[in-house]
Amino acid sequence: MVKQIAIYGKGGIGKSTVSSNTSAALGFLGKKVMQIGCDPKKDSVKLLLNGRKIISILEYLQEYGEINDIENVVKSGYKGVKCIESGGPEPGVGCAGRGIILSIETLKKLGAFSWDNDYIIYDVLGDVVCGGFAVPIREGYAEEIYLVVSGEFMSIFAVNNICKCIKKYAMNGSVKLMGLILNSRNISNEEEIVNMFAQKINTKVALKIPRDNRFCKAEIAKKTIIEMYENSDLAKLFINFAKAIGNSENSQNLIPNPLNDDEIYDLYKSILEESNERIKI
Amino acid sequence: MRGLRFKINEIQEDFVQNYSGKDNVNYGCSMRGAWRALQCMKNDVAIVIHGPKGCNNEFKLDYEDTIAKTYCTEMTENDVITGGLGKLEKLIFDLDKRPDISLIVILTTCTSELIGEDIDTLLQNLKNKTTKKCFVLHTSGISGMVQSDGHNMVISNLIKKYTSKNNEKIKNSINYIGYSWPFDHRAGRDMHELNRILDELGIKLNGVYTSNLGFSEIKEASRASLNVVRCPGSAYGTINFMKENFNIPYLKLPIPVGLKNTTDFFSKLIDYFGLGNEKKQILRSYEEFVCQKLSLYKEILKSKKACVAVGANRTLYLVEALLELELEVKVISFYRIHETIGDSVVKIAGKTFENLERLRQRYNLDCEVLVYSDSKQFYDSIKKNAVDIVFDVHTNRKMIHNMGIAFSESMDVEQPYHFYYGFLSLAETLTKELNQPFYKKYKEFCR
Repeated sequence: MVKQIAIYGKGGIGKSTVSSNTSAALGFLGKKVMQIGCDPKKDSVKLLLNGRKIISILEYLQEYGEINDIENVVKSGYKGVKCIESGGPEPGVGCAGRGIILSIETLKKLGAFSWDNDYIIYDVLGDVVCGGFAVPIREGYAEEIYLVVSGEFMSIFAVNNICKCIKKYAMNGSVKLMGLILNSRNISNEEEIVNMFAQKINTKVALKIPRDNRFCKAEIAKKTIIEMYENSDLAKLFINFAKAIGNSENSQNLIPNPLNDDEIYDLYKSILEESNERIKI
Repeated sequence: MRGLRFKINEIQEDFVQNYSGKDNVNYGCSMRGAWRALQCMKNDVAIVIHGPKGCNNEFKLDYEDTIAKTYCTEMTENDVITGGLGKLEKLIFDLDKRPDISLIVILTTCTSELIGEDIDTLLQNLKNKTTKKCFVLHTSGISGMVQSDGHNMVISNLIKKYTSKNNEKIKNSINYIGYSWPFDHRAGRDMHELNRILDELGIKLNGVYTSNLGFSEIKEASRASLNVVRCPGSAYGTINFMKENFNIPYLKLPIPVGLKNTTDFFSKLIDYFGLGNEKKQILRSYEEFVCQKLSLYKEILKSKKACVAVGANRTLYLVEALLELELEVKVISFYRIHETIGDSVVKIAGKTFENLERLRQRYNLDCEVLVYSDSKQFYDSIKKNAVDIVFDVHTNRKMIHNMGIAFSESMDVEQPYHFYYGFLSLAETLTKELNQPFYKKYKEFCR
């Protein structure tokens, strides 16, 4: 049975890097994977395709009116990962949220969700700014959600907001928040901050990714870590994470308990005070 | 609180309070109101609806013969996602090439406003690339759910943007503001009558806003020496602006339907311009002529029971006209109790009830009043009061006919019913409708 996973987080936090490396790791383990980029920037699958261009669903619809053959918008990437980009409008015009809705509906109509896949990974735009970006959660597509976060205040703030949306759907059991993915920025007390935040919102840290220049090198080479540094510690990190995803069926359904704005400020303040950091207000 | 039904002698103080405020404003769609005000202008004005086909289609169905100058960008789902300004720009360029078009007015819809289409910037960028005058009205239903706001936006924008300030005033001249009916419907004949009688009285009709208004006439709006308000809801933004900027005072006159209201309408103008009793004699001649002709109709209409169901502003004048024809008004139904918004709401709601009380006292009226009634209340009331004819909007014609009751349109009628000869025409229409052999028999069958 196909397992559908959505990855959310603040813009620029590394969702596409995490998604692509997770898809690549699953592919490396011999799993059949499809990754759907749900971001108007349409840069989700570029590492899996080694920089090859892909026409997004919305670009295709705009150009040709309809999609008769799904192969027109799917490209095979590293280890056979099926790569799809939803696409969206130019910045400042139109409605990107509606774009996500149309893309997912189009894929459904074309039968993409009935393919023989083991995993579908949704890489969704930075924040759940409108109903369109909640579609991967609310329409019963993704059952498991991971949130990419760093120790930076705004990153935690954004993830907390996304939890407000997840909570609604987790309450009725349609989705599970599987945990946070800490994509380290090397700020002081980062792990402590994220661990404490995870505890406060009733979740766990499922993966810790260290700050490492190899990510940058792989990015420039347009490859995933799994492809470029196959036997590295970083690759193992993702492969172990992929294995853990595969065994997540029996995990407890933890309903996130997002904090209010004041609580986030207080949390951050107390952590910094504890570590003798001075806050200038 | 909705659906009041009470006897006219049971008006209570709290009705005014309960039916005041923004919750009870004349809701609708501002875009629809704006479109109505624009579509009855001359054909040198092009209306562009920036929205999906559905927003335009309603008008095609309702007004088949007046759609010639309405254009639509027909936004698709893709346009919603990636923006539809490209389509709009192309349409503007196409219309700009047309020699028969002087002005292009863009109306936004819920769809284009929801996705934040930046039409103002687009028009700014097109300024040097196009030759025709062009402006946008933000009329989406989501931001303005009041139809008369749309009328008001059109009239006030036209005047503010294009009326010249330095025009010399024409002595004894008027603008008629807030009358927006298609000229090829009743309006053409109503306006002909208005023009004809005003001419006899020595008053010049400078312009009607907006029936049959051409772009070139808008520039001349400031030449009038008086603004006459037909519909307060459509005119409120304009009359104050014109008073302040062009020094044109305004008068709210009765809707000229029925003998008394028509004579009041013209008498007040004669008094305002100081034209003297000689002109009033003209009105008396008309009255005498119409009275003679009416006697025949009155024999047939006498004691027939009527229901009047239109907006509050018009209802009270129509009731008076029907009473003059010796019909018995048994049901008055308001589906719009307010004709304007904002601070004026309470005043207008109070005014409506005040007018009802005035009618009751003056004509010893004994009838039921419905306010925002649902269809069951409406039909129950018609049946209970054994109504013979319903005076209502055309969309209810079939339902009323299916009850075996005669029907006359109150708004989109083909026949003129304003002014003196219009009143005769109204009497004839009602007589014909009441004497339709089929409905006479059908009524017996229904009962």
